[in-house]
Amino acid sequence: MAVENNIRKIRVERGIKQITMAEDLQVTRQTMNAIENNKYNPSLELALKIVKYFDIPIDQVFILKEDE
Amino acid sequence: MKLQKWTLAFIGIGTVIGALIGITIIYSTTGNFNISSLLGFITAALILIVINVIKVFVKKDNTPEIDERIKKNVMLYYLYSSTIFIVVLFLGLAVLSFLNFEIVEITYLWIIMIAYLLISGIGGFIVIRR
Repeated sequence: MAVENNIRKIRVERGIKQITMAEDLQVTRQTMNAIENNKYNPSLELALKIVKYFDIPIDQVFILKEDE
Repeated sequence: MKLQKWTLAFIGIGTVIGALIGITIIYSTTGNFNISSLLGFITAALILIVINVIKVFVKKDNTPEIDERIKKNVMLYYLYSSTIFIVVLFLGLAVLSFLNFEIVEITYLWIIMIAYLLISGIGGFIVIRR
């Protein structure tokens, strides 16, 4: 089962720059990019920080994809 | 967190302190103070400090140098590189034993050790940048 996320979609909708979000969450821009491209799954702590940053329920940000 | 951006400078200072301790130990046992190697270490430290100062002044954003993804990557890298090193060393020793070598010079062991530190250090630096 893979974890996917809507971080890029939500971020662009809200007009937040990737570098601004990286600064606010205290991660590197490369890590932010890797998370948005589903190349890296953030730790629970960072995932909760992202959810708090957007102030929306976790299931709207992260989706657990079932295996086909 | 604020000191994190000065890591390279701290590595440089640590290198000089380590070199000073090492050279002092050698001086206390042999009576020779190797000033040329100390100058080499100081030069290396100065290069690291200058690179660090340039990096700090060029960097415009407020993102950290290291985060959880980089830490994880570095940990995995050292896990793999050290395992590979031990496997290579084991195979090397097995080949030497097979060829009936019973004595290995300490110099060769030092070369292997320093080569490992050098290669793993450069690799670690590349992993941090990715």
